[in-house]
Amino acid sequence: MLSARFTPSTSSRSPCCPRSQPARSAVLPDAPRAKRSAAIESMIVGARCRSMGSLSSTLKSATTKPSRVTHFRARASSDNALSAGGKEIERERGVKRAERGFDLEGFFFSVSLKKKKIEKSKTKNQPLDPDLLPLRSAFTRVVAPLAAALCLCNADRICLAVAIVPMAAELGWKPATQGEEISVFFFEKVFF
Amino acid sequence: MNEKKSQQQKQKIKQPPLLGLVQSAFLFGYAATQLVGGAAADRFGGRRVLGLGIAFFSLAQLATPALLAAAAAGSSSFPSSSSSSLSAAAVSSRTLAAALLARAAVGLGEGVALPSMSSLVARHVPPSSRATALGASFSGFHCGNLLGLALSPVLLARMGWRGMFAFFGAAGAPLLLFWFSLVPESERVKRERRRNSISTSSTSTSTPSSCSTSTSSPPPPPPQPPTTPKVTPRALLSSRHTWAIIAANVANHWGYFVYLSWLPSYFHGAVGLDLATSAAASLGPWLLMAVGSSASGALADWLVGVEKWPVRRVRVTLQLVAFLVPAAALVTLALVGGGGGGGVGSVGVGAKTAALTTASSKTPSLHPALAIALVATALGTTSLGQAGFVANMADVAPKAAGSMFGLCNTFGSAAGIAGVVGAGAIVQATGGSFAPLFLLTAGLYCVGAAVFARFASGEAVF
Repeated sequence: MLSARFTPSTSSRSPCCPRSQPARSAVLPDAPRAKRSAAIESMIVGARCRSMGSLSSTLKSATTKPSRVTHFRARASSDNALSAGGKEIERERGVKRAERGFDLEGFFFSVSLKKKKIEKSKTKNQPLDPDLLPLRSAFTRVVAPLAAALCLCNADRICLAVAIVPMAAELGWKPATQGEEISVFFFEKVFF
Repeated sequence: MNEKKSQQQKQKIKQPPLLGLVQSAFLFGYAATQLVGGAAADRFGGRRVLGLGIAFFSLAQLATPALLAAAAAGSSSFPSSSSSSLSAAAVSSRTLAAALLARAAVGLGEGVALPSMSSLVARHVPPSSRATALGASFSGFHCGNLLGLALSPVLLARMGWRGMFAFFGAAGAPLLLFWFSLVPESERVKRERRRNSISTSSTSTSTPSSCSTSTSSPPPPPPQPPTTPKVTPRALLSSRHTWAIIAANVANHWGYFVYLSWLPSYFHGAVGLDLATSAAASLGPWLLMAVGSSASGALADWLVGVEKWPVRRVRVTLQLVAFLVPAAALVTLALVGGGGGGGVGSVGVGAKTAALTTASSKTPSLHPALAIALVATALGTTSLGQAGFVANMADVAPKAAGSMFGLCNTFGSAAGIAGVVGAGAIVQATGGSFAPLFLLTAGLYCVGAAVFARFASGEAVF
């Protein structure tokens, strides 16, 4: 950011004070100051309009929803409005700085703020996934019951490997005598 | 002594097909509900699906003795057999069919368990510790083997096989209580249900007062934006990353079900150990697997989180270890144990269990302790695959983890059926030698490892 401001033409003059007039004009050399701030203003207003538009659309959709869902939506959109308000304050500050003469500083300030906001919302989205549990309760409430359930599953499955010997003896499944034919027969009959 | 041994060997050869048959009946039911269970778990949440599954397989387990009794009674009241000399065989075949049906029903209930696990873990556990969670769940899975093998001989001795079925079936009730009191319901499922209840209640209440309210649309608006896009099995199958997981799954399940259904009866048939001892002899490998699953999950999360390995590298490395080490162990077992012609491999393994009980080994071609160590190593290291291909399912398809698991496990269960049935055929065809079976399993492991290493992905595709 700083190095962008010091173009070679101005570095010979006063590298020690970056907010001086020549430094600014070096970045946007041929645009008059009023025009520049107007451009910045229009950019910011456009961004604001976009955000307001999305806000109003969510509000509109919220009013048509039935009761409980409306509650949710309304709360969510009020949160949105709050954060949008915060953003607007930041942007206004940026605009004021721009008009005060710190235009580039203000511009970069607001841009970097916006970036930070976006990053924040990205990282915020992950824990907001309502199904994700905190680590400890994920293990006590999901993994432990799962392990118990799978344990019983396999116990039920493998107990037959032991029980089949007395069962075969009692029920006359004697593979050594007639079992081969019977099992092949039933294998085909039951499954194919 | 020699006579006895050959007789035992004959019994061993004859014994497994029955067990293989019953186990494969289980697997048919198990394979049938994988896909459905996975899709249902993604849609309705693993809480409800697995809860239903627990209820179903416990009831089937509970009803098994009654079903067998009904089959025996039915066959005696309906003399459908052509001659009276066949009636005993007819009864036994009818009860066998009933047992197969009961097993298939238990399998139907249990088929939804693992896909539900995959879906639940992907939905509720933070990504950074998903492999640990999967590993811990699989430890429970293997502990089930331990519990079953340890408890069932005791139960059989105390109350017979009917009592054993009743016991395991009844154990489902407290588990269900535990399950529904702890496991959270997915927010999305909850929201959907709430919307449904609102829509039904609003249609019932809005009809009398609709004229007084404003001109808003009378039918409730049916927008469904928050539902996740449905991932079809066809879409999953179109990706080679899925096929990498399927290949690993097939190799893993072939080996797993060969061990699972053959270890106890193999020990019992080969040496003539009593039930309790043969079950105890096969406990060790499962214990190692239970420990290995948890350890591998924690190891994988540590590698990703602390060592900053890329996900793909972690999965592939662990899977390679999980396949190549058992392959080496099995090849050693086959070459060393099977050197002296037909039946030596089984004698070698038989001798090792004999050494467990009598402590007087005759040291055949393979030292019994070495054989035990090799089997344990093979089983223990395959459990590293829980942090390999199983964790990779949630990597590739985080939104459709249940469907993905169901799809891959359908192939896996088919391989399991092939393993159970094919192993019997192979052992019989080679005159009781287990060496060809071990070599084949080792070969499958190598193929699975190669395919997984080539095509696996560490990123979310679906």
